[in-house]
Amino acid sequence: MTSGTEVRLVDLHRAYAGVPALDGLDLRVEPGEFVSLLGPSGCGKTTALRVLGGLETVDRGQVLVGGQDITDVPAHRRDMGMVFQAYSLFPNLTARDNVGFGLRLRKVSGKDERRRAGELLELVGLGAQAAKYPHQMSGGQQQRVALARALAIQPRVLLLDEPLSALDAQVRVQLREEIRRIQTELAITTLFVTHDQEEALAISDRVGVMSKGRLEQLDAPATVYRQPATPFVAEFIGVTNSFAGTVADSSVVLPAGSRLPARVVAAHPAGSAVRVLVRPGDLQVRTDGPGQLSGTVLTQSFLGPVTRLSVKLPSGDVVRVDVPSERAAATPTGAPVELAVDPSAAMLADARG
Amino acid sequence: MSVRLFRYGILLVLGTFFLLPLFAMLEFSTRGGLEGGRDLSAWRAIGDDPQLVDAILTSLQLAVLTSVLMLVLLLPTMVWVHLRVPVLRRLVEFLCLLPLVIPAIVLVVGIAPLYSWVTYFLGDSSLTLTFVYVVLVLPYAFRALESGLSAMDLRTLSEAARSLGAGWGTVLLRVVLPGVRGAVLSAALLTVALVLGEFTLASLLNFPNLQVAVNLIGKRDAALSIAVSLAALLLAFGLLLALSIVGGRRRTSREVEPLAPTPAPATDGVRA
Ligand SMILES: Nc1ncnc2c1ncn2[C@@H]1O[C@H](COP(=O)(O)OP(=O)(O)OP(=O)(O)O)[C@@H](O)[C@H]1O
Ligand SMILES: [Mg+2]
Repeated sequence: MTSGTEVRLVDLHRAYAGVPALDGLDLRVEPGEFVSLLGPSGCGKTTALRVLGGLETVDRGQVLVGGQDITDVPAHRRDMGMVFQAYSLFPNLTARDNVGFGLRLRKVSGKDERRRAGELLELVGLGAQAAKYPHQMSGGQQQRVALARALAIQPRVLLLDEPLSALDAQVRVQLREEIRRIQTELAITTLFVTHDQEEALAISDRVGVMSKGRLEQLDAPATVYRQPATPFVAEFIGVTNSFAGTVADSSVVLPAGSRLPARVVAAHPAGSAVRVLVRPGDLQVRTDGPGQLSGTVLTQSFLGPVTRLSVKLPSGDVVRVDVPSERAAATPTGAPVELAVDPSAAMLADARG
Repeated sequence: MSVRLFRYGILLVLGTFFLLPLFAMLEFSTRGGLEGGRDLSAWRAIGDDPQLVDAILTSLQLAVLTSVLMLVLLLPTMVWVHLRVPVLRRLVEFLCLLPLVIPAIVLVVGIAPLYSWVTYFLGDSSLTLTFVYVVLVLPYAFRALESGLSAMDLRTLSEAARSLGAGWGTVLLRVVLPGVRGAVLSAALLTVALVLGEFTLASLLNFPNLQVAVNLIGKRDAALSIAVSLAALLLAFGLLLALSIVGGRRRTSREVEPLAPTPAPATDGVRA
């Protein structure tokens, strides 16, 4: 019912009291694509979404939808469906009338309005709740109705600003899959803002990681996960170990003298200062001999299938290592451990980053 | 036990304090002639005095006009300030509360020259009092509307409506107004009560409204003027009672919303 529309944000700048919230943001979303914007609090995700929805103005830059410049078009003429983080249903209207709100403004006849509202409530799994008022529904149900309301106007683009963040973990997972299903079904171009990396990786065609008002990387989830473009992305996506060192043929020499194997590429010639980034899951505890690093276990925290160890190196740095939980007993607090680095998993980054 | 006695004692004292004058008014206005006994002639005479009837109609029209003008001016302004220029909120509040601290006589001295222009353009109808009365009710109306507006998530709801295709007019009529219905009603009722009881400004500006007429009549027919005053008072009381009932209903309806979430704070709190 909706064919996707291409969205382009070109060099967006927006400052509040001199502090930039958007600082040259460029983003292109393909027709029908589901893109998540991920980033720490205050990096400008909401601002970007509001600019696209027409709720915020820009100091500089362009918003193009379907090749058309809509930078100066007011929000109510943009035909964009928005779902907000805060509950936003009209409290004096039933679920059905909420969904029909946009249709009524478009002078759809009463009969058609009720039929479409009914269909959309079915689509979000709330066909039986049509006559309920917002205060009679749970948070998850309210957000479903908000989604149905946004979809009812057959928007060109769907904008979701952390619609799940007020919900509990189980409902979040369920609802995010449902959002993805509906989005795929309708092939509607969607921009989804979140600061939960797992959420973004799980449901997106591509993930855009933002920092300080600009895009650091925009790639498929697996690429963002395996090949973070910058140390910032790496850190944000869950890489918590970082070692400063110097490149020497096929390894990196750490100040303490130990060598970490790594895939050295042309960007980092021998002798250059770099940082080695390693996920906790890509470090192994060796039991059969010396590894590249040794240290003592400081703490253990049980995370379910894995247990995360904090290991203190002689240099004073603390590294985090995930071991299968059934083997965690072999490395109690205070025990000396030898660590090995998986060379294919270690990533190199400029030392400055 | 003694606490309860104390409470009833206080109620009794306050009740007497408020009701005794009213009873006295009722007693006086229904007093029979020289032969004594009860007699409703003063109350019946209310409808017979054309001057008085005119004054009553004037005051009722003033009440309606003032309520409407107050809402038309104040509600959009306050919504606009809430959404667009929240930094001005304190200033607007200060301006709206000013009439409370400026004595009526000062207000008249300031306004009288303006009124020569008003009468020049609009004629010398008593209804032009509407303009002063709007100023006079600002503090009360502002408080009522402010509490209503802060109780709703104005920003999110209006943005949701706009993204669905509503212009500002539609947002005001379809989203804001239903959301602050109770507050609008309070503001309007307070306005009506205040306008019906206003004497000073009307008298000083020489417009015959209800209270001015009551005062005039009092000089010739005390029973009649007391009867009218009591009727006006009872009407105002009735309105205030209605208001407190509406307010009470609003509060209970909020209490039966166990699922109603508090709006998520997050960044939008920074903006608000
Ligand atoms: N209306 C505003 N007035 C002043 N500053 C603002 C306003 N809106 C946003 N900002 C600032 O702009 C920056 C970006 O805000 P934004 O809401 O886009 O962040 P975000 O990435 O959505 O963060 P979060 O994950 O916490 O929602 C923040 O520093 C914020 O304080
Ligand atoms: Mg945000």
